[in-house]
Amino acid sequence: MINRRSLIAGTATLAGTSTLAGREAAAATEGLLDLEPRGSLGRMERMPDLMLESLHDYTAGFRKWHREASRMAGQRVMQIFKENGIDPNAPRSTQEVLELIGKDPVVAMSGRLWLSNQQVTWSAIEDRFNAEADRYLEEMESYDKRGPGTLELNPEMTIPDHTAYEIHIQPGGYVGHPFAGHLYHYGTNSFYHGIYGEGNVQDEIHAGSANKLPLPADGKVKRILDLGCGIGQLAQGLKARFPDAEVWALDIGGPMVRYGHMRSVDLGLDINFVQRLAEDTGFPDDYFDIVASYLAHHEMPEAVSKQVFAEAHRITRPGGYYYPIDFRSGRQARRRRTAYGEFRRWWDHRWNGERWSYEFHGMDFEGEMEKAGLILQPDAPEVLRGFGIRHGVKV
Amino acid sequence: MGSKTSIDVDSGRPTYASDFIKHDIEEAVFLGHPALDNLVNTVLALSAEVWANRRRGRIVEALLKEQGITAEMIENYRPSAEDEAEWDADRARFVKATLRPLMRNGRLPIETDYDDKS
Repeated sequence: MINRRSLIAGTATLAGTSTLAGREAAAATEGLLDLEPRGSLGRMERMPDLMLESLHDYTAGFRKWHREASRMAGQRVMQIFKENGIDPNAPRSTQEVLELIGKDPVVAMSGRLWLSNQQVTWSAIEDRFNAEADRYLEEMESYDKRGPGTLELNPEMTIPDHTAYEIHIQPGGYVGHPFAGHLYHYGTNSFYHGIYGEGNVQDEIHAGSANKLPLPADGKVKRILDLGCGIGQLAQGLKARFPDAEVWALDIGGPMVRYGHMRSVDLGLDINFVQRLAEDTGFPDDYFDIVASYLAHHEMPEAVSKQVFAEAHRITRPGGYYYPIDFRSGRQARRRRTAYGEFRRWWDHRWNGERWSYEFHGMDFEGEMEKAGLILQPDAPEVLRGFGIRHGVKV
Repeated sequence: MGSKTSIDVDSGRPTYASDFIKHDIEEAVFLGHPALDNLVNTVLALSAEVWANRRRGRIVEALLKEQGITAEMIENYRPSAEDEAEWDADRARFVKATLRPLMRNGRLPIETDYDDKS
Protein backbone atom coordinates (compact mmCIF):
# COMPACT_ATOMS: atom_id res chain seq x y z
CA MET A 1 0.00 0.00 0.00
CA ILE A 2 1.53 3.31 -1.01
CA ASN A 3 2.42 5.76 1.76
CA ARG A 4 1.12 9.15 0.75
CA ARG A 5 3.45 11.16 2.97
CA SER A 6 6.56 9.47 1.69
CA LEU A 7 5.22 10.01 -1.81
CA ILE A 8 5.29 13.75 -1.30
CA ALA A 9 8.70 13.53 0.35
CA GLY A 10 9.92 11.69 -2.70
CA THR A 11 11.31 8.78 -0.81
CA ALA A 12 8.81 6.13 -1.96
CA THR A 13 8.49 4.53 -5.36
CA LEU A 14 5.44 5.93 -7.10
CA ALA A 15 2.88 3.21 -7.76
CA GLY A 16 2.19 4.87 -11.08
CA THR A 17 5.75 4.36 -12.27
CA SER A 18 5.69 0.69 -11.43
CA THR A 19 2.45 -1.03 -12.19
CA LEU A 20 3.40 -4.10 -10.22
CA ALA A 21 4.38 -2.59 -6.88
CA GLY A 22 2.40 -3.01 -3.69
CA ARG A 23 2.26 -6.43 -2.09
CA GLU A 24 3.99 -8.23 -4.94
CA ALA A 25 7.35 -8.50 -3.22
CA ALA A 26 5.94 -9.77 0.06
CA ALA A 27 3.63 -12.32 -1.58
CA ALA A 28 6.38 -13.61 -3.84
CA THR A 29 8.24 -15.00 -0.85
CA GLU A 30 5.26 -17.29 -0.21
CA GLY A 31 5.23 -18.56 -3.79
CA LEU A 32 2.11 -16.61 -4.63
CA LEU A 33 2.18 -13.74 -7.06
CA ASP A 34 -0.44 -11.39 -5.62
CA LEU A 35 -0.65 -8.32 -7.82
CA GLU A 36 -2.13 -5.45 -5.86
CA PRO A 37 -0.34 -2.37 -7.12
CA ARG A 38 -2.65 -0.08 -5.18
CA GLY A 39 -3.54 -2.32 -2.27
CA SER A 40 -7.05 -3.28 -1.17
CA LEU A 41 -10.17 -1.74 0.25
CA GLY A 42 -11.23 -4.48 2.64
CA ARG A 43 -12.06 -7.51 0.50
CA MET A 44 -11.76 -5.68 -2.78
CA GLU A 45 -8.41 -5.24 -4.49
CA ARG A 46 -8.29 -1.68 -5.77
CA MET A 47 -8.20 -1.29 -9.49
CA PRO A 48 -4.60 -1.38 -10.71
CA ASP A 49 -4.39 2.30 -11.64
CA LEU A 50 -6.06 5.56 -10.68
CA MET A 51 -7.31 6.31 -14.19
CA LEU A 52 -9.18 3.00 -14.40
CA GLU A 53 -10.62 3.48 -10.92
CA SER A 54 -11.74 6.99 -11.81
CA LEU A 55 -13.32 5.90 -15.11
CA HIS A 56 -15.20 3.31 -13.13
CA ASP A 57 -16.24 5.84 -10.61
CA TYR A 58 -17.79 7.73 -13.50
CA THR A 59 -19.70 4.68 -14.75
CA ALA A 60 -21.16 4.17 -11.28
CA GLY A 61 -22.26 7.79 -11.20
CA PHE A 62 -23.73 7.40 -14.66
CA ARG A 63 -25.82 4.44 -13.57
CA LYS A 64 -27.26 6.40 -10.68
CA TRP A 65 -28.13 9.28 -13.03
CA HIS A 66 -29.56 7.02 -15.68
CA ARG A 67 -32.45 6.08 -13.42
CA GLU A 68 -33.62 9.64 -14.05
CA ALA A 69 -33.05 9.34 -17.81
CA SER A 70 -35.05 6.14 -17.82
CA ARG A 71 -37.90 7.83 -15.94
CA MET A 72 -37.85 10.63 -18.51
CA ALA A 73 -37.99 8.07 -21.31
CA GLY A 74 -40.87 6.33 -19.56
CA GLN A 75 -42.76 9.63 -19.28
CA ARG A 76 -42.12 10.28 -22.95
CA VAL A 77 -43.56 6.86 -23.78
CA MET A 78 -46.71 7.62 -21.79
CA GLN A 79 -47.00 10.87 -23.70
CA ILE A 80 -46.66 9.10 -27.06
CA PHE A 81 -49.33 6.60 -26.14
CA LYS A 82 -51.64 9.35 -24.96
CA GLU A 83 -51.08 11.38 -28.15
CA ASN A 84 -52.04 8.30 -30.13
CA GLY A 85 -55.08 7.53 -27.98
CA ILE A 86 -53.62 4.20 -26.82
CA ASP A 87 -53.91 2.66 -23.36
CA PRO A 88 -50.28 2.15 -22.19
CA ASN A 89 -51.36 -0.58 -19.77
CA ALA A 90 -53.19 -2.72 -22.31
CA PRO A 91 -51.30 -5.83 -23.45
CA ARG A 92 -49.42 -5.14 -26.64
CA SER A 93 -46.88 -7.06 -28.68
CA THR A 94 -43.27 -6.00 -28.53
CA GLN A 95 -43.38 -5.24 -32.25
CA GLU A 96 -46.29 -2.84 -31.78
CA VAL A 97 -44.51 -1.08 -28.95
CA LEU A 98 -41.29 -0.86 -30.96
CA GLU A 99 -43.13 0.71 -33.88
CA LEU A 100 -44.71 3.27 -31.61
CA ILE A 101 -41.72 4.34 -29.52
CA GLY A 102 -38.56 2.74 -30.86
CA LYS A 103 -37.50 5.73 -32.94
CA ASP A 104 -38.46 8.43 -30.47
CA PRO A 105 -35.29 10.51 -29.81
CA VAL A 106 -35.73 10.60 -26.03
CA VAL A 107 -36.34 6.86 -25.75
CA ALA A 108 -33.56 6.04 -28.20
CA MET A 109 -31.08 8.36 -26.51
CA SER A 110 -31.76 6.82 -23.09
CA GLY A 111 -30.90 3.40 -24.50
CA ARG A 112 -27.92 4.60 -26.47
CA LEU A 113 -26.40 6.38 -23.49
CA TRP A 114 -26.89 3.34 -21.28
CA LEU A 115 -25.12 1.07 -23.75
CA SER A 116 -22.32 3.56 -24.35
CA ASN A 117 -21.69 3.58 -20.60
CA GLN A 118 -21.80 -0.20 -20.56
CA GLN A 119 -19.20 -0.31 -23.29
CA VAL A 120 -16.92 2.14 -21.47
CA THR A 121 -17.33 0.00 -18.34
CA TRP A 122 -16.03 -3.09 -20.09
CA SER A 123 -13.45 -1.64 -22.44
CA ALA A 124 -11.56 0.23 -19.72
CA ILE A 125 -11.12 -2.93 -17.63
CA GLU A 126 -10.37 -5.11 -20.63
CA ASP A 127 -7.72 -2.78 -22.01
CA ARG A 128 -6.00 -2.55 -18.65
CA PHE A 129 -5.70 -6.25 -17.94
CA ASN A 130 -4.94 -7.15 -21.55
CA ALA A 131 -2.05 -4.68 -21.48
CA GLU A 132 -0.33 -6.85 -18.85
CA ALA A 133 -1.95 -10.12 -19.79
CA ASP A 134 1.07 -12.29 -19.20
CA ARG A 135 1.61 -10.94 -15.71
CA TYR A 136 -2.02 -11.30 -14.65
CA LEU A 137 -2.21 -14.79 -16.11
CA GLU A 138 0.95 -15.61 -14.21
CA GLU A 139 -0.77 -14.36 -11.07
CA MET A 140 -3.72 -16.69 -11.58
CA GLU A 141 -1.38 -19.57 -12.39
CA SER A 142 0.40 -19.12 -9.08
CA TYR A 143 -2.96 -19.61 -7.30
CA ASP A 144 -4.39 -22.45 -9.40
CA LYS A 145 -2.93 -25.23 -7.31
CA ARG A 146 -2.85 -23.40 -4.00
CA GLY A 147 -5.24 -23.65 -1.10
CA PRO A 148 -7.23 -23.16 0.87
CA GLY A 149 -9.81 -24.83 -1.34
CA THR A 150 -9.37 -26.40 -4.73
CA LEU A 151 -9.82 -25.55 -8.39
CA GLU A 152 -10.92 -27.97 -11.09
CA LEU A 153 -10.61 -26.67 -14.65
CA ASN A 154 -11.73 -28.70 -17.65
CA PRO A 155 -10.27 -27.08 -20.76
CA GLU A 156 -11.17 -30.06 -22.94
CA MET A 157 -14.85 -30.08 -22.10
CA THR A 158 -17.40 -29.09 -24.71
CA ILE A 159 -18.77 -25.66 -23.94
CA PRO A 160 -22.40 -25.57 -25.09
CA ASP A 161 -23.45 -22.61 -27.22
CA HIS A 162 -26.06 -21.46 -24.73
CA THR A 163 -23.28 -20.53 -22.30
CA ALA A 164 -21.15 -18.79 -24.91
CA TYR A 165 -23.05 -15.53 -25.37
CA GLU A 166 -21.72 -12.16 -24.29
CA ILE A 167 -24.15 -11.66 -21.45
CA HIS A 168 -24.34 -7.95 -20.49
CA ILE A 169 -22.26 -7.45 -23.67
CA GLN A 170 -19.27 -8.32 -21.47
CA PRO A 171 -16.40 -9.00 -23.89
CA GLY A 172 -16.08 -12.74 -24.31
CA GLY A 173 -18.97 -13.41 -21.95
CA TYR A 174 -18.29 -15.77 -19.08
CA VAL A 175 -16.40 -18.38 -21.04
CA GLY A 176 -14.49 -16.51 -23.71
CA HIS A 177 -12.20 -13.98 -22.04
CA PRO A 178 -9.07 -14.88 -20.08
CA PHE A 179 -9.97 -12.11 -17.62
CA ALA A 180 -13.72 -12.78 -17.49
CA GLY A 181 -13.52 -12.91 -13.71
CA HIS A 182 -11.78 -9.54 -13.43
CA LEU A 183 -14.20 -7.99 -15.93
CA TYR A 184 -17.21 -9.42 -14.15
CA HIS A 185 -16.08 -8.48 -10.65
CA TYR A 186 -15.14 -4.87 -11.31
CA GLY A 187 -17.82 -4.32 -13.94
CA THR A 188 -20.78 -5.63 -11.99
CA ASN A 189 -19.86 -3.62 -8.92
CA SER A 190 -20.94 -0.66 -11.00
CA PHE A 191 -24.22 -2.41 -11.89
CA TYR A 192 -25.44 -2.36 -8.31
CA HIS A 193 -25.37 1.43 -8.32
CA GLY A 194 -28.14 1.34 -10.87
CA ILE A 195 -30.22 -1.18 -8.92
CA TYR A 196 -29.75 -0.26 -5.28
CA GLY A 197 -28.03 3.12 -5.56
CA GLU A 198 -24.90 1.64 -3.96
CA GLY A 199 -22.11 -0.72 -4.91
CA ASN A 200 -21.16 -4.19 -3.72
CA VAL A 201 -17.50 -3.53 -3.01
CA GLN A 202 -17.36 -5.75 0.08
CA ASP A 203 -19.66 -8.42 -1.40
CA GLU A 204 -22.17 -7.18 1.13
CA ILE A 205 -25.13 -7.97 -1.12
CA HIS A 206 -24.03 -11.58 -1.57
CA ALA A 207 -23.19 -11.90 2.11
CA GLY A 208 -26.63 -10.54 2.95
CA SER A 209 -28.26 -13.21 0.79
CA ALA A 210 -26.05 -15.95 2.20
CA ASN A 211 -27.01 -14.90 5.73
CA LYS A 212 -30.72 -14.88 4.95
CA LEU A 213 -30.87 -18.32 3.35
CA PRO A 214 -32.90 -20.54 5.67
CA LEU A 215 -31.55 -23.61 7.42
CA PRO A 216 -32.89 -27.01 6.39
CA ALA A 217 -35.62 -28.19 8.78
CA ASP A 218 -33.20 -30.48 10.63
CA GLY A 219 -30.58 -27.73 10.87
CA LYS A 220 -27.91 -29.93 9.30
CA VAL A 221 -25.58 -28.06 6.94
CA LYS A 222 -22.52 -30.09 6.09
CA ARG A 223 -22.26 -29.56 2.36
CA ILE A 224 -23.35 -26.59 0.21
CA LEU A 225 -23.28 -25.84 -3.52
CA ASP A 226 -23.35 -22.45 -5.24
CA LEU A 227 -24.73 -23.50 -8.63
CA GLY A 228 -23.76 -21.26 -11.56
CA CYS A 229 -21.48 -19.43 -9.16
CA GLY A 230 -19.80 -16.91 -11.45
CA ILE A 231 -16.84 -15.74 -9.38
CA GLY A 232 -18.21 -17.37 -6.26
CA GLN A 233 -19.38 -14.40 -4.23
CA LEU A 234 -22.40 -16.25 -2.83
CA ALA A 235 -20.21 -19.28 -2.03
CA GLN A 236 -17.84 -16.99 -0.15
CA GLY A 237 -20.72 -15.63 1.90
CA LEU A 238 -21.93 -19.16 2.61
CA LYS A 239 -18.48 -20.33 3.70
CA ALA A 240 -18.23 -17.36 6.05
CA ARG A 241 -21.63 -18.25 7.53
CA PHE A 242 -20.98 -22.01 7.68
CA PRO A 243 -17.22 -22.27 8.24
CA ASP A 244 -17.39 -25.99 9.04
CA ALA A 245 -19.36 -26.88 5.93
CA GLU A 246 -17.81 -28.19 2.73
CA VAL A 247 -18.61 -25.52 0.16
CA TRP A 248 -18.56 -26.04 -3.59
CA ALA A 249 -18.88 -23.45 -6.32
CA LEU A 250 -19.70 -24.50 -9.88
CA ASP A 251 -19.70 -22.55 -13.14
CA ILE A 252 -19.09 -23.29 -16.81
CA GLY A 253 -16.79 -20.28 -17.19
CA GLY A 254 -13.19 -21.47 -16.67
CA PRO A 255 -11.79 -17.95 -16.20
CA MET A 256 -14.64 -17.17 -13.80
CA VAL A 257 -14.00 -20.07 -11.40
CA ARG A 258 -10.30 -19.46 -11.74
CA TYR A 259 -10.68 -15.89 -10.56
CA GLY A 260 -13.12 -16.98 -7.84
CA HIS A 261 -10.60 -19.51 -6.54
CA MET A 262 -7.81 -16.95 -6.56
CA ARG A 263 -9.92 -14.51 -4.62
CA SER A 264 -11.05 -17.16 -2.15
CA VAL A 265 -7.43 -18.10 -1.44
CA ASP A 266 -6.68 -14.43 -0.76
CA LEU A 267 -9.69 -14.28 1.57
CA GLY A 268 -8.63 -17.48 3.34
CA LEU A 269 -11.85 -19.27 2.37
CA ASP A 270 -11.78 -23.03 1.77
CA ILE A 271 -14.07 -23.42 -1.27
CA ASN A 272 -13.94 -26.03 -4.01
CA PHE A 273 -14.37 -24.38 -7.41
CA VAL A 274 -15.25 -26.56 -10.40
CA GLN A 275 -15.71 -25.78 -14.08
CA ARG A 276 -18.76 -27.91 -14.94
CA LEU A 277 -22.28 -27.52 -16.28
CA ALA A 278 -25.11 -26.67 -13.91
CA GLU A 279 -27.37 -29.09 -15.75
CA ASP A 280 -24.82 -31.91 -15.47
CA THR A 281 -22.84 -31.37 -12.29
CA GLY A 282 -21.32 -34.81 -11.88
CA PHE A 283 -22.12 -34.83 -8.15
CA PRO A 284 -23.69 -37.91 -6.54
CA ASP A 285 -27.39 -38.15 -5.66
CA ASP A 286 -28.51 -36.59 -2.37
CA TYR A 287 -25.13 -34.94 -1.90
CA PHE A 288 -25.84 -31.41 -0.67
CA ASP A 289 -27.78 -29.97 2.24
CA ILE A 290 -28.17 -26.60 0.53
CA VAL A 291 -27.99 -25.79 -3.17
CA ALA A 292 -28.37 -22.14 -4.08
CA SER A 293 -27.86 -20.03 -7.17
CA TYR A 294 -27.54 -16.28 -7.59
CA LEU A 295 -29.09 -14.68 -10.68
CA ALA A 296 -28.19 -17.72 -12.80
CA HIS A 297 -31.48 -18.90 -14.28
CA HIS A 298 -32.29 -15.75 -16.25
CA GLU A 299 -29.00 -16.38 -18.07
CA MET A 300 -29.92 -19.83 -19.35
CA PRO A 301 -32.55 -21.07 -21.83
CA GLU A 302 -35.82 -22.32 -20.43
CA ALA A 303 -35.02 -25.88 -21.49
CA VAL A 304 -31.75 -25.75 -19.58
CA SER A 305 -33.42 -24.17 -16.53
CA LYS A 306 -35.69 -27.19 -16.37
CA GLN A 307 -32.68 -29.50 -16.55
CA VAL A 308 -31.02 -27.51 -13.78
CA PHE A 309 -34.10 -27.85 -11.55
CA ALA A 310 -34.01 -31.61 -12.09
CA GLU A 311 -30.28 -31.74 -11.42
CA ALA A 312 -30.58 -29.59 -8.30
CA HIS A 313 -33.31 -31.91 -7.03
CA ARG A 314 -31.14 -34.96 -7.70
CA ILE A 315 -28.06 -33.72 -5.89
CA THR A 316 -29.96 -32.28 -2.90
CA ARG A 317 -30.49 -34.69 -0.03
CA PRO A 318 -34.00 -35.27 1.32
CA GLY A 319 -34.74 -32.44 3.74
CA GLY A 320 -32.32 -30.14 1.95
CA TYR A 321 -33.34 -27.46 -0.50
CA TYR A 322 -32.62 -25.54 -3.68
CA TYR A 323 -33.00 -21.75 -3.55
CA PRO A 324 -32.50 -20.16 -6.99
CA ILE A 325 -32.29 -16.42 -6.30
CA ASP A 326 -33.42 -14.56 -9.39
CA PHE A 327 -35.61 -11.80 -10.78
CA ARG A 328 -39.26 -11.97 -9.92
CA SER A 329 -41.05 -13.87 -12.67
CA GLY A 330 -43.76 -16.48 -13.17
CA ARG A 331 -46.18 -16.48 -10.24
CA GLN A 332 -44.16 -13.77 -8.52
CA ALA A 333 -44.03 -11.46 -11.54
CA ARG A 334 -45.06 -7.91 -10.80
CA ARG A 335 -48.72 -7.78 -11.76
CA ARG A 336 -48.80 -4.52 -13.66
CA ARG A 337 -46.31 -4.01 -16.41
CA THR A 338 -46.56 -0.99 -18.67
CA ALA A 339 -45.80 -1.02 -22.38
CA TYR A 340 -42.54 0.80 -21.61
CA GLY A 341 -41.67 -1.87 -19.06
CA GLU A 342 -42.19 -4.55 -21.69
CA PHE A 343 -40.10 -2.57 -24.17
CA ARG A 344 -37.27 -2.27 -21.64
CA ARG A 345 -37.41 -5.97 -20.92
CA TRP A 346 -37.09 -6.77 -24.62
CA TRP A 347 -34.42 -4.13 -25.07
CA ASP A 348 -32.36 -5.55 -22.17
CA HIS A 349 -32.63 -8.98 -23.76
CA ARG A 350 -31.71 -7.83 -27.25
CA TRP A 351 -29.16 -5.05 -26.78
CA ASN A 352 -27.76 -5.62 -23.32
CA GLY A 353 -26.92 -9.20 -24.22
CA GLU A 354 -29.39 -10.80 -21.80
CA ARG A 355 -29.87 -13.53 -24.37
CA TRP A 356 -32.14 -15.73 -22.28
CA SER A 357 -33.97 -13.27 -20.06
CA TYR A 358 -37.02 -13.05 -22.30
CA GLU A 359 -37.52 -16.84 -22.11
CA PHE A 360 -36.94 -16.66 -18.37
CA HIS A 361 -39.73 -14.15 -17.86
CA GLY A 362 -42.10 -16.20 -19.97
CA MET A 363 -41.50 -19.40 -18.00
CA ASP A 364 -43.63 -20.70 -15.13
CA PHE A 365 -40.57 -20.72 -12.88
CA GLU A 366 -42.27 -21.99 -9.76
CA GLY A 367 -44.27 -24.55 -11.72
CA GLU A 368 -41.10 -25.98 -13.22
CA MET A 369 -39.48 -26.18 -9.78
CA GLU A 370 -42.50 -28.15 -8.61
CA LYS A 371 -42.39 -30.44 -11.64
CA ALA A 372 -38.80 -31.25 -10.71
CA GLY A 373 -40.02 -32.41 -7.32
CA LEU A 374 -39.13 -29.36 -5.24
CA ILE A 375 -41.76 -28.37 -2.68
CA LEU A 376 -42.12 -24.60 -2.60
CA GLN A 377 -42.08 -22.84 0.78
CA PRO A 378 -43.87 -19.51 0.28
CA ASP A 379 -43.19 -18.41 3.87
CA ALA A 380 -39.43 -18.64 3.43
CA PRO A 381 -37.46 -15.41 3.55
CA GLU A 382 -36.78 -13.23 0.53
CA VAL A 383 -33.01 -13.39 0.54
CA LEU A 384 -32.36 -10.63 -2.00
CA ARG A 385 -34.52 -7.53 -1.63
CA GLY A 386 -37.09 -7.29 -4.39
CA PHE A 387 -36.26 -10.65 -5.95
CA GLY A 388 -39.01 -12.82 -4.52
CA ILE A 389 -38.96 -16.14 -2.70
CA ARG A 390 -37.85 -19.37 -4.38
CA HIS A 391 -37.31 -21.89 -1.63
CA GLY A 392 -37.76 -25.43 -2.91
CA VAL A 393 -37.37 -28.33 -0.45
CA LYS A 394 -36.62 -31.88 -1.47
CA VAL A 395 -38.63 -34.37 0.55
CA MET B 1 -26.20 -13.08 -33.76
CA GLY B 2 -22.50 -13.45 -34.51
CA SER B 3 -20.50 -16.53 -35.24
CA LYS B 4 -18.12 -17.97 -32.70
CA THR B 5 -14.82 -16.29 -32.15
CA SER B 6 -12.03 -16.18 -29.60
CA ILE B 7 -9.85 -13.64 -27.82
CA ASP B 8 -6.08 -13.62 -28.05
CA VAL B 9 -3.94 -11.94 -25.44
CA ASP B 10 -0.23 -11.32 -25.51
CA SER B 11 0.88 -14.34 -23.51
CA GLY B 12 1.83 -17.93 -24.12
CA ARG B 13 0.15 -19.06 -20.90
CA PRO B 14 -3.05 -21.10 -20.81
CA THR B 15 -6.09 -18.89 -20.42
CA TYR B 16 -8.89 -21.47 -19.93
CA ALA B 17 -11.05 -19.27 -22.16
CA SER B 18 -13.22 -20.81 -24.90
CA ASP B 19 -14.78 -19.70 -28.13
CA PHE B 20 -17.77 -17.45 -27.63
CA ILE B 21 -20.61 -15.92 -29.63
CA LYS B 22 -19.99 -12.23 -30.30
CA HIS B 23 -22.84 -9.79 -29.74
CA ASP B 24 -23.62 -7.41 -32.59
CA ILE B 25 -23.83 -4.29 -30.43
CA GLU B 26 -21.18 -2.58 -32.56
CA GLU B 27 -23.64 -2.56 -35.44
CA ALA B 28 -26.58 -1.10 -33.51
CA VAL B 29 -28.09 2.16 -34.74
CA PHE B 30 -30.57 3.71 -32.30
CA LEU B 31 -30.50 7.34 -33.41
CA GLY B 32 -31.31 7.05 -37.08
CA HIS B 33 -27.76 7.33 -38.40
CA PRO B 34 -24.65 5.42 -37.26
CA ALA B 35 -22.68 8.66 -37.05
CA LEU B 36 -25.10 9.91 -34.40
CA ASP B 37 -24.70 6.74 -32.36
CA ASN B 38 -20.94 7.06 -32.75
CA LEU B 39 -21.10 10.65 -31.60
CA VAL B 40 -22.93 9.69 -28.44
CA ASN B 41 -20.32 6.99 -27.80
CA THR B 42 -17.61 9.62 -28.14
CA VAL B 43 -19.45 12.12 -25.94
CA LEU B 44 -19.87 9.53 -23.21
CA ALA B 45 -16.25 8.40 -23.42
CA LEU B 46 -15.13 12.02 -23.24
CA SER B 47 -17.43 12.65 -20.30
CA ALA B 48 -15.85 9.69 -18.47
CA GLU B 49 -12.34 10.93 -19.27
CA VAL B 50 -13.12 14.45 -18.09
CA TRP B 51 -14.49 13.13 -14.81
CA ALA B 52 -11.46 10.82 -14.37
CA ASN B 53 -9.17 13.81 -14.76
CA ARG B 54 -11.26 15.96 -12.43
CA ARG B 55 -11.12 13.22 -9.82
CA ARG B 56 -7.37 13.00 -10.18
CA GLY B 57 -7.23 16.77 -9.73
CA ARG B 58 -9.20 16.44 -6.49
CA ILE B 59 -6.76 13.85 -5.24
CA VAL B 60 -3.81 16.06 -6.10
CA GLU B 61 -5.45 18.99 -4.30
CA ALA B 62 -6.16 16.82 -1.27
CA LEU B 63 -2.51 15.77 -1.09
CA LEU B 64 -1.33 19.34 -1.61
CA LYS B 65 -3.58 20.51 1.19
CA GLU B 66 -1.73 18.16 3.52
CA GLN B 67 1.40 20.05 2.51
CA GLY B 68 -0.18 23.43 3.20
CA ILE B 69 -1.42 24.33 -0.27
CA THR B 70 -5.13 25.09 0.09
CA ALA B 71 -8.04 25.17 -2.34
CA GLU B 72 -8.27 28.92 -1.69
CA MET B 73 -4.68 29.35 -2.83
CA ILE B 74 -5.52 27.44 -5.97
CA GLU B 75 -8.65 29.53 -6.54
CA ASN B 76 -6.66 32.73 -6.17
CA TYR B 77 -3.64 31.64 -8.15
CA ARG B 78 -2.45 34.34 -10.57
CA PRO B 79 -0.83 32.82 -13.64
CA SER B 80 2.44 34.30 -14.70
CA ALA B 81 2.88 35.67 -18.19
CA GLU B 82 4.71 32.49 -19.08
CA ASP B 83 1.84 30.38 -17.68
CA GLU B 84 -0.68 32.40 -19.71
CA ALA B 85 1.25 32.01 -22.93
CA GLU B 86 1.65 28.29 -22.46
CA TRP B 87 -1.93 27.75 -21.39
CA ASP B 88 -3.30 29.91 -24.20
CA ALA B 89 -1.54 27.79 -26.76
CA ASP B 90 -2.82 24.61 -25.14
CA ARG B 91 -6.34 26.03 -24.94
CA ALA B 92 -6.29 27.00 -28.62
CA ARG B 93 -5.17 23.52 -29.55
CA PHE B 94 -7.85 21.91 -27.35
CA VAL B 95 -10.73 24.08 -28.59
CA LYS B 96 -9.78 23.65 -32.23
CA ALA B 97 -9.37 19.90 -31.90
CA THR B 98 -12.73 19.44 -30.20
CA LEU B 99 -14.95 21.93 -32.04
CA ARG B 100 -13.59 22.39 -35.54
CA PRO B 101 -14.94 19.04 -36.76
CA LEU B 102 -18.47 20.28 -36.00
CA MET B 103 -18.10 23.03 -38.62
CA ARG B 104 -17.47 20.67 -41.46
CA ASN B 105 -19.99 21.26 -44.24
CA GLY B 106 -19.98 17.92 -45.97
CA ARG B 107 -22.32 17.75 -48.93
CA LEU B 108 -21.22 14.89 -51.06
CA PRO B 109 -23.14 11.68 -50.64
CA ILE B 110 -21.08 8.56 -50.86
CA GLU B 111 -22.16 7.77 -54.41
CA THR B 112 -20.76 11.03 -55.84
CA ASP B 113 -18.22 10.43 -58.64
CA TYR B 114 -15.23 12.64 -59.55
CA ASP B 115 -16.99 14.53 -62.36
CA ASP B 116 -20.36 14.86 -60.67
CA LYS B 117 -20.06 17.55 -58.02
CA SER B 118 -22.90 19.83 -58.94
